[in-house]
Amino acid sequence: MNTYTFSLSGLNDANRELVPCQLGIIKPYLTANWVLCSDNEQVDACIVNDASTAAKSAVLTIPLVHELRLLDKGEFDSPLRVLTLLELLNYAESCLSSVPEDIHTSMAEWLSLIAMSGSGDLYFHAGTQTFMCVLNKVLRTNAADKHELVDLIFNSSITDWKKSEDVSILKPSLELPITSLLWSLGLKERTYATQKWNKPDTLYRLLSWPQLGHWESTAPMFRLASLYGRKAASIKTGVLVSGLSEEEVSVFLHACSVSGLKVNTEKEETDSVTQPPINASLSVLQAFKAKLGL
Amino acid sequence: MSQQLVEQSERLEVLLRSLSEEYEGLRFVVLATSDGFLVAHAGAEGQSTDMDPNRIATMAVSFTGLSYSLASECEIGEVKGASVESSEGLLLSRLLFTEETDFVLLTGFKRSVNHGIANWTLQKAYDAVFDCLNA
Amino acid sequence: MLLKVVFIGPMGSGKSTAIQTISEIKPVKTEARNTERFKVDKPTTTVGMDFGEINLGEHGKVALYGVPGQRRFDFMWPIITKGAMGAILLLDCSQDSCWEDFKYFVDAFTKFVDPSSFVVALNRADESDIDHCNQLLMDEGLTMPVFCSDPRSEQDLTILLHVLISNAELRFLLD
Repeated sequence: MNTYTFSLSGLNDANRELVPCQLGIIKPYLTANWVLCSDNEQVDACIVNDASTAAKSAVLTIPLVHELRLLDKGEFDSPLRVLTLLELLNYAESCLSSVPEDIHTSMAEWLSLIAMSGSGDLYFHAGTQTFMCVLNKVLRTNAADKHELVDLIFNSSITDWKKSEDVSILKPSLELPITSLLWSLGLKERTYATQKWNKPDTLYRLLSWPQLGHWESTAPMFRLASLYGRKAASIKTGVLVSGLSEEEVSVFLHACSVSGLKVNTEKEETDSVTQPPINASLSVLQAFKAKLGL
Repeated sequence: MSQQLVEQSERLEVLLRSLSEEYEGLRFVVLATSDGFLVAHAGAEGQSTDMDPNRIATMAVSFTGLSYSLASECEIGEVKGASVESSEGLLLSRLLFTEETDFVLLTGFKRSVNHGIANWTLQKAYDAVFDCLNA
Repeated sequence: MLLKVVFIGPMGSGKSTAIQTISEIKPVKTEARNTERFKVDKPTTTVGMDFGEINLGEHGKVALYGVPGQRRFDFMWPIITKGAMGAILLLDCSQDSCWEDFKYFVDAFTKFVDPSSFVVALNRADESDIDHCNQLLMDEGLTMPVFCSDPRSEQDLTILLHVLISNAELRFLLD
């Protein structure tokens, strides 16, 4: 049986005090183990008293309905009675269990879509009072620096960012190219990248180069860019030519994709690369790299 | 090319023609700006339908320029002429410096002409062209 | 062992400057007074070639060659590019003829140098120029690394050379 966490938001004290007792009563009838957490914790589901409130730290938000009307599926009325709580938690479990393992959306892909939309919408992170707005490939923000913003976005979820209509409130202290930020953000999304990009029997081809040397980069990334820019190749080939792990090669491709570079995929036919011998030509190239301080 | 040079080119063409007629063994003369534009020539087109005076001018400029760089690198002093010796003839070229523009003068000689005469002819051609440019 | 890197591009794109920036020897130049200052306002232009060097000690040398950029000197191009491990195509995006030159030089030099050995360096450019360049390449079915690069910047040029080296390494590994 799966275990999930939930919290309450906006309920009055009387209702709050009842919930643990109600939970004890309905426990044998629940399809999952449910643990009640405090308001500020990251939870799987949050029961909110006010429908206009989105839970800051929950995957699933379930608002209670106060009007006297026929309820649709997924709607539950207030006050929170014991049977209502039972139905609500079983419903929440059915929603959460149908979400695949990789429910963690790529924040980089989300931001990339916003950038591509060209809407110039302002997004606001309530927890840190951080704004960001993307227009004409430039991101404007009141974050202190790029790394702080990247960390914030990476550690947040889509629901943490609310659209704000009032663009004038943005007083940016920082402007930076969105592609550079997306690249850095993409490099952090290791779990997502591995799930998405490390597909068996798939070859990847880069149709344009990342701005290595200008964006965050390491020496092996140059080889990866050379490889996937030259021909369609598998993750395994990427590992062989770069010396990186499969995860790191996947992350590279993911970062290329979210920063707007076209990455084509093909089904693998033949892609065999054997371990290359070290010969004079390669050693002189290595000497050249060493000379350049690379 | 400057307007002045365009106007001079006709006179230079006449001069180069007279030079090629005056000096036995001189097959053709080409004058180009030092950055590769043909200014005037005599005899270059007539030798063969494949000879393009514009192309020859540009090649002469590269060749002469490289020769001067080579001479400078070898520290052998002032260049009197750069040469190409082949089975059917001899090419000699030289840079010509004026206040406004620099030029390359290329002379092509028949096989029968010896080096000394060729160098002497090049010098004569150089002096004549120089005087004409500065007239 | 001698490695050869060739700098190509139209007149005034920064080829001689780039070689000057990274050469460990005083570059050999073959320059003449520029009579086309209405096109590119610089006093001299390359009419033969530029030559510079990077010393790799016991491993050999890297020879840096610059071609004359004007099309009338195209007879020099196959001579100078022969045996090159890679070509760096420099473009000045402030020039009106930039993209026409780009297409011309890619077309001309891919006859002499393997397209996978190219690096494109855009001077006085921004991201939109990179995007435009990538699109032009994609239209031709080509993938080449494209960077903003200042020919006076050793750091920028080092990135270009790193890319060239990576491409060369891949050729040894895959071919």
